Amino acid sequence: MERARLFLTYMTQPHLDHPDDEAIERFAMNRCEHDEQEAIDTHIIGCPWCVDRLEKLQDEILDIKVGGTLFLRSQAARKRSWLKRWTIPSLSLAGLAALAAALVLLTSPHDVNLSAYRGSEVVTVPQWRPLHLHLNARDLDAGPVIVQIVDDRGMEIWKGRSTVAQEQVDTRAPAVRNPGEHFIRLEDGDGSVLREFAIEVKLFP
Amino acid sequence: MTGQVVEKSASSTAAAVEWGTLVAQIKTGDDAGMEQLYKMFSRGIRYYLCRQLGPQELDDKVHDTFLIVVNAIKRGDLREPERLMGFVRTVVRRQVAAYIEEAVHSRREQADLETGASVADRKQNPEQEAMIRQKNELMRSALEALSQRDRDILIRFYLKEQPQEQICREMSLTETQFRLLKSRAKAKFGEIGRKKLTSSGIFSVFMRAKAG
Repeated sequence: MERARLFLTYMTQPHLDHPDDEAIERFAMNRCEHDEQEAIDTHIIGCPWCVDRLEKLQDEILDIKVGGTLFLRSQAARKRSWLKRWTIPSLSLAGLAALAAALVLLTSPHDVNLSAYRGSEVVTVPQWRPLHLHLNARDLDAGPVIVQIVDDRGMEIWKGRSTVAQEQVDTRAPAVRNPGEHFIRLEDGDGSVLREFAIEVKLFP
Repeated sequence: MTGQVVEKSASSTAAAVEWGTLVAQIKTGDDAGMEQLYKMFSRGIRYYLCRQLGPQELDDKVHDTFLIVVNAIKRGDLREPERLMGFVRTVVRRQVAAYIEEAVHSRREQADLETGASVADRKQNPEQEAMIRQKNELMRSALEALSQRDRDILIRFYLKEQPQEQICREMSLTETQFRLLKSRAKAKFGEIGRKKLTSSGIFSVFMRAKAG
């Protein structure tokens, strides 16, 4: 009865006892408590002014509801349109692009500079990438050498020919496929090891 | 008493009503009394009936209800003239119940016979439909023109019908802040909407339609 006490329930003076804007809004939105509902119901039967207020308010609320519904729909449509970029056809294209980039990366040689003697430094090199080796050959006689890559058990992975020039051996080697410790050896024509370098092969160095 | 809830009407019908005089005039069939009664109650009765029963045959129902009120007063069913508004409301409620009962009865009786009955198309004509669509789009853009906070408040309260307490809690507002912001947001929305309607030319068409 609290809210109904805000204006007279017997409506003896309707020109004085109009519900305020908030009460009218509660009534329009069916949010009144029972007593308030009854009181406003009775009042508006005999008050054209409050009926006008109510109808105007209901129009305003309807405009907000319609505008709000369309606004939320347009937001949802924008979100869907953004998500469509990530549908399967788009993902396929993106996947192909990523694959192409990976191929380019994997086929381009990785530069490896080795200048330390075995045991003192281990350089990490990427797995699955061809190598461009720059091996320190200081104190070695200029001339042809054999470059060999072996795994940690001494099993040969690859062998190739190069030359000692200006205290350095430059050569290209194929990708090492297995991870782990490997050794690069410089050998003379007789098979004697002139120098050996250690490398650690990892997928993501 | 919290808040100012009693206010004087600005309309010309705000003059104090002498209930006893009015009821006496109705009882004697005085035209002036009948006219005043109609002026005072026809809008409210129409609104009430429309709200409960919908717009079908509304004019007839308002007229019938008014006649029932007048006849009840003439019969002496109203013992206290100052209770006229409550009395009219009771009569209207009984009328609503009677109309609903009649509708249920006729639906039950006629359900099997009315195969292929035609139903009136309630849609507007294409021109009106286009105007309504345009107006709705203007309402959407008016809402978009508000700040995010104002828009959130209006959408949460009026469209999603979230309770005030929930909105205050989730948006970190006090009750007073909420009421103030809601009122301002609604006013801003109304102002932007009116400007857009006016500049689009639709507003004057809608105003003519309402007055007609």
